[in-house]
Amino acid sequence: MRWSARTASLLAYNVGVWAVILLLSFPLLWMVLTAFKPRTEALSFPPSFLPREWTLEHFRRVLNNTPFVAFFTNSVIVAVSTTAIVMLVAMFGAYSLARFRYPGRRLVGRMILFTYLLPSTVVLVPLYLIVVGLGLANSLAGLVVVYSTFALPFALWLLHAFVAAMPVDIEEAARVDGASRMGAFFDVVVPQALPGLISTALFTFILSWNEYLFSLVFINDTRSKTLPAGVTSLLLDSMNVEWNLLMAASVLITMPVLVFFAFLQKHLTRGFGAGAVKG
Amino acid sequence: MPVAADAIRPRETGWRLSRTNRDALTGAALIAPTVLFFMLLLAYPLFQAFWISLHDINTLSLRGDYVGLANYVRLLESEQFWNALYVSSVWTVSSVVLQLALGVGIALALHGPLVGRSVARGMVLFPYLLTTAVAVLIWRWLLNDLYGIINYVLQEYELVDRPVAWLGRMPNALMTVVLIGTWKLFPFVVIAVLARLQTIPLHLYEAARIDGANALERFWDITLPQLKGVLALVLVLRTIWDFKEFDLIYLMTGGGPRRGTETLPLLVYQQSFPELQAGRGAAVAVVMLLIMLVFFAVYFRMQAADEERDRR
Amino acid sequence: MKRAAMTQREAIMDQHLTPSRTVRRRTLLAAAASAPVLATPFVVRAQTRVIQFWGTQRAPEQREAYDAIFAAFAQAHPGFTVNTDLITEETMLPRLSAGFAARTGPDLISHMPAPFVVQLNDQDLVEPMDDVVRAVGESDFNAPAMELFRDQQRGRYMAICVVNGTTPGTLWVRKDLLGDAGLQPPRTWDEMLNVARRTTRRGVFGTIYSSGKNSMGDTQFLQTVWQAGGTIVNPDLSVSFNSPQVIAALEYAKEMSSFSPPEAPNYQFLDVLNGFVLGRAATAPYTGRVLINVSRENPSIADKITCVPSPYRREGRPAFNSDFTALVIPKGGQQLEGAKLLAAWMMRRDSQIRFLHATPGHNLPDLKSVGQSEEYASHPLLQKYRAELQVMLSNTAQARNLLKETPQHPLNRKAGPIFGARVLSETVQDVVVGGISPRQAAARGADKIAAIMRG
Repeated sequence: MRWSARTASLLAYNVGVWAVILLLSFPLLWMVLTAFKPRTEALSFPPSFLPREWTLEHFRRVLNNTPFVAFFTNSVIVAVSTTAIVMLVAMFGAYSLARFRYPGRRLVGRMILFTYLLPSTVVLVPLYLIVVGLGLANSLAGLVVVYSTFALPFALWLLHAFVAAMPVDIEEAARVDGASRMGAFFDVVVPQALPGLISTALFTFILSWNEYLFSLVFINDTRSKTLPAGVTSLLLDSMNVEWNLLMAASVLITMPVLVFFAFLQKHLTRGFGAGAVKG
Repeated sequence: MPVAADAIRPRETGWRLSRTNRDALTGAALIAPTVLFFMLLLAYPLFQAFWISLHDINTLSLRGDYVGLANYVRLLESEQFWNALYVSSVWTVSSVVLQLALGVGIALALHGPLVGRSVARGMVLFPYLLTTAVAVLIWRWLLNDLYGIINYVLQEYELVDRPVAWLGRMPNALMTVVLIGTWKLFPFVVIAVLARLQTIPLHLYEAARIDGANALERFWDITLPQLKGVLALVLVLRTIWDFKEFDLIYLMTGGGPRRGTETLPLLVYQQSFPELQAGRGAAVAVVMLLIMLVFFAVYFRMQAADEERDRR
Repeated sequence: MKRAAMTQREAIMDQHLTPSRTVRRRTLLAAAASAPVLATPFVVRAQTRVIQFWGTQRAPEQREAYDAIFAAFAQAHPGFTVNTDLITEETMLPRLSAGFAARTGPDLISHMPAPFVVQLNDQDLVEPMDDVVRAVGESDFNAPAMELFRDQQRGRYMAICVVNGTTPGTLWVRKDLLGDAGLQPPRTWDEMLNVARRTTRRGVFGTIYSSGKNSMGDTQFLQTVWQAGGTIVNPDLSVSFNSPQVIAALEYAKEMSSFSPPEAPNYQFLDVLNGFVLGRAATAPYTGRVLINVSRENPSIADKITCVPSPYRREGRPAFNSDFTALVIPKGGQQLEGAKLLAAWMMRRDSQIRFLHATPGHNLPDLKSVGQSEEYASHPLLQKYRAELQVMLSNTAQARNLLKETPQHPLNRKAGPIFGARVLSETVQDVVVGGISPRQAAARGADKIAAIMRG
């Protein structure tokens, strides 16, 4: 078989990129493999990479013997609610900042970003007081409020960057055809900005999915805990780590989101926008 | 803030005034929920932090005396603060630079004709998605000197004769923390840049190809300018976040060895909680805020100058 | 009872609304936040009263033990139930701060280290536990523990010791590895260094001297200072850290570190434990947790381990450090009566034994009656390691705390802040990692401690 220069470079490209990705994902692979190892193999020395025996018992134990499912449900509720609220508010806000003119526009955008600069340690108690004051202590709704606060500034800015990067022509064309401002927004801006919307939604989702400190402090009932707080306080002890269970739980926590994102990438970002077929 | 394309031009001169006003009102209405959120939930902690920093307050009882700027004076005179500032700077600059470099590189790679591209994109997201506490646990296991696989392999292949102390010595600890931080956070850059790449109109590339531009020229003249906006934003966001980063470093090294990885956020935590000095912790936090303000004032000025230049 | 609780809460609020120079608590709460908090009716279930319990001992067996103990409590006290929340040690502080600020804190907290309890008491954030002490029987507690928790000023007990133990005080050794080198378990520093030197070889470290910037590193060095014959502060509370004994302690720490794994300055509790349990160290200081983990993770060395009191300097004295972990009733909780009943219940012999047997050897009894009981000793693991258990109990009985380094010392209120600032482990790291001379490091450490003592 004669290999053209093009095929060779394509092959090199694929091999090279996949090598880097596998290297970067090495901990993921280790995590998944440990989840399938029997208990005694986890901390063995010399360390084993592939399991000598494969077992599903840890997944079974995590799902059946721990409140994992409750934690998972709570995390989903909080993450989805936060994402919905933030995307809605940020979308309108970003459009406003990108396409409208009014006094104080620049200032508002910057102020929002600046207040963001306080470390979480210092905002912990004030935010807790607010949440308690709203009657939301020890509740998932309280977490949604707090996470929305964290996510909003960057969601706003990120979406603003995507909207601003789009050429105004198509919108103007739509306006010429008689569409209102908001109509143009929904019919033109939103579809064009889809990759930006998806990635912003993803970041917001991950922020809520992963958030650890506030969840630990704001929620007292074991049953109402979210995944990071629940799983770590359950399986991580200062003197003992339930390695296999923890890895199995981590697989269950991360895989659904990864798979979902891969799915979105495959189907939703295919051939849309101003003919960006390459994406 | 990058100046958007000019606001939609009004069609008829006669309608300009009221149209502009109506536009402005709509615009303001659209941003109103954001401002409301901001006022209610971000402004209060901000003022609380300022207020507390002017007092000598016990974290548990929230009782204490007004001391004016004493906490700030004490801060500026303490070696611990200047060390934390230095460590924060090294950490932030290295992390951001590495994250951007790695992130853009991988994003470009994932934008090309890769086999199993969607799976690859999912896998790349993994470090960012993993709970920090679990990620730190896994890395501490991998780097462990007694049973970690990395030291095991190094010793087996006789590259070292003693296990390497990745986190127990300086400058190892800071370097290791920067590398792991980069690993954990670079997917943010990948996703943002990739999303932008996906919206670059293909006809631009085709036109350039027809004009005879090669791959490098196409990248330089088309891709890069299109990415500028997102890159600038990602730079700002990642700088803010990395500067504030607490969990990763705290769980990994606790600020040690000695104070080698004690960044400003760790100092804030250290003073607010184990030392129960909320006022001093708040003072450090406010100083962090001021530093970022200065950074951004300079940055936005440079950006405004850039835009002026572009416009001309 | 409900009305009494309301008035008490109001009394606390009045107490906190101090005038003029000190900061009003109200001013810290924005109007929006404070009004609803004060107006919100507290959750009162008509039938049952819920006692909020927070703890840090969260291994699966310990959770089960807590569940069993609390279920028995609920049965014996109809009208009460317990809501358990077991969290990490690092989370406890932010949780408590938030809880105190918003009056949503717990009713009973367990396993708080004594220095922290004193800090809480200094801020007047704990309820007296004299009722509970009386219910259990004052003489049943170990005297040193009761001393620490006695608030002399107000004439009451601020907490009670729930269980005890010493982490750096017990040295675990591998009989086989020592035997191969023809060595006996060490009793003094010279012997210890000899053992460490002779058992270090490829793949095995002679010992694990933890110099991590955490509680283990701090208490390990504190104990070393005592063993050298020194103290951190004098009985008059002046700083005695810049002394020949401390310098000797630093030199010992430096030498011990040279036989320890290179990552020891980054070691947490878990790493030291794993190092010994997985057979990579010939000796290591730890609690009886070793017994459980060995039997589970490395049974092959189960018959090769034993423990001895931590070796001391010939010119010094035997010394052991303990946290004297306590049950505390924080102010601002809603079930004061319930909390006291629950605390007393947890100190009953059957509850104690149930909890202690969940991690045999790791937590040790503070109550004499429990420690001496047949029932306690009857656990199979404790039976197997009978001799080792006696060593651990003896070490714990002699243990002291930074709060009161010798019987001649008064209570050192700044013990908590000294630990909080991690001065002790930082000083060790200065020598071990930074290469600074022990003399200089001791002087530096003394300055830091002096600053903390001054406040």
